[in-house]
Amino acid sequence: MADTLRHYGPAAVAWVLLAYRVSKGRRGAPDPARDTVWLVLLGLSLSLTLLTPAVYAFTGRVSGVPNLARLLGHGSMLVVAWSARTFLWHLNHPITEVQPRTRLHLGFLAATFAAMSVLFVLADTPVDDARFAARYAGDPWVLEYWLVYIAYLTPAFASMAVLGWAYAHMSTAPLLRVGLRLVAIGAFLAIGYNLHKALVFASERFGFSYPPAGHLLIDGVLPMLAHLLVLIGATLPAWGRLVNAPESLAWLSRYRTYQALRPLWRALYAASPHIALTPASPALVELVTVRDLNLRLYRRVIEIRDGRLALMPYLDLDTATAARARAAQAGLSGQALDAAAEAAALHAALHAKALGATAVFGPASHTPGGGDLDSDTVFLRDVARAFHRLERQSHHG
Amino acid sequence: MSAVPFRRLRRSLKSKVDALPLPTPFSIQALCELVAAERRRPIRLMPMARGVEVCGLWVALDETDLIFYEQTTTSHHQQHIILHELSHLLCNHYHSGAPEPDQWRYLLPDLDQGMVRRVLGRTAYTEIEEQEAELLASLIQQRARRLAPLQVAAETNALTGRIKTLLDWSGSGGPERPS
Repeated sequence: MADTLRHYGPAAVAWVLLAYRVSKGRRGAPDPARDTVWLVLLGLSLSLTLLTPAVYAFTGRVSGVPNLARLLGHGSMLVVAWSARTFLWHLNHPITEVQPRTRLHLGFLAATFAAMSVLFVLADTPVDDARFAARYAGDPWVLEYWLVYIAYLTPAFASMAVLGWAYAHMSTAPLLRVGLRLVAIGAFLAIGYNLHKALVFASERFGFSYPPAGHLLIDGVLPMLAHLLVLIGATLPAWGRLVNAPESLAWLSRYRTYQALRPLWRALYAASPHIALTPASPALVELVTVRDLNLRLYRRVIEIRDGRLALMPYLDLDTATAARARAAQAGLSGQALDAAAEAAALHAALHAKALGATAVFGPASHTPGGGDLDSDTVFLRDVARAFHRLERQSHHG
Repeated sequence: MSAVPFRRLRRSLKSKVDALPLPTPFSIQALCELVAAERRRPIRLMPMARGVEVCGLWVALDETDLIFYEQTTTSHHQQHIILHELSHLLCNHYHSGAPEPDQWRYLLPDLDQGMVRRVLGRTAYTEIEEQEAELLASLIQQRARRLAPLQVAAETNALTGRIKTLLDWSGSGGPERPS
């Protein structure tokens, strides 16, 4: 059952996504990059399908060419790589510049596939076997075939990984952010798998030891996972809303913020227990408590603000200014700088209070923070993270 | 307050929160005006500077309710402090236990003590009135947030906006809530 799922699950997912894509037809303003998305989906689906044991055997039997599905599956991946690169070029260059490049790369693709076909024929692999590597890893031309194949794939996948991650960082839409990160991780894993496979072939050929060879997790699961991550990531912005993904992501983000606020809240609570409406729970209990998250997060933000007010007589303006200068020197700016300075000021004030310093009710100073609840929550999350780092440093120091 | 009394208190306050008419769009000032109109007693919001031990104070005079709130904190925290005092007023709380806070004397030195009917301050949650007001304030704020229109996360970057259009072919359109 697990094996069936591993072999056929990814292909089934791919075709469901592709069918959903087809059902939606052509949408949105005309864009030359649109068709490349199609091709990526189609290429991945074909590649996943050709490498399922049943289709692999069927292709070999019908064509009379053993292991032909392997060559065709890899051909589909070349198309995926070409499409992904074309997609990325379209994002950054006008169509007049993109067209000559894509044509040139189509030429590279054709040359690569031709070279792979020649090496495929040269390699003597008479038994049609979906577990190709286990049988033929050390045979002549198998390594060469693989090196030609990944030489074409790797630059495209590297662009997907690096740019996907960078664009995810730039985006403000949660689904796109997660989707692009999944694509980037998928591309990164694919590069890792391809290099691993090259080492497997090389080790068999040249007789050196390469222990990770033949590991089910790496050989069986990793390529499927890479495929699936790219597929799911690239289509998440389209189907995410059907499964309420934006709400789930927003919930997850609030949960993480709630957990991130804990160290700061805990320290302020220890100094001024009156700020808490309900007493502190152990960290583990908080980690597994999922109900009422909105109310609990709101309470935590309010109680941190109450804790800061209670600490104000111990806040020292000079300490805050010095901490700010240090943070600026370390290259921080904007909200990160404000948060680091505030964390240092609170850390020093808590320390002063614990040492029995005298409370000084001075003139009111500016309170750094966000203009509304959401932005203040984000600000306090950053403060709490910086505060946690300071706590760890002073603990180790 | 341990978990069980907290849940009980929360249940008992839920009907109060649900019954409360909330202004749209929600603002603390508008809610105060609504409550004031219903009670036929004006509510005055008075900022106060740090220096007194409380960060919020409700002073009920003969014909007016004064709500003092701490000024040296962020605006949503100020709003929460006002909501806390407003919750005392909505629950018709009387001060019990410890002596009444007298910080109002610093804030309103010229006021005749005979005019002051009731005083409640926001400090700790050791008394049931304080727990009730604090929780009610939190629950009102939560309900107001649920009623607020969906915040639109506009893709401000042209490049990622284009990627989003290319990858989101579902046609469901609609904006996403920012995380």
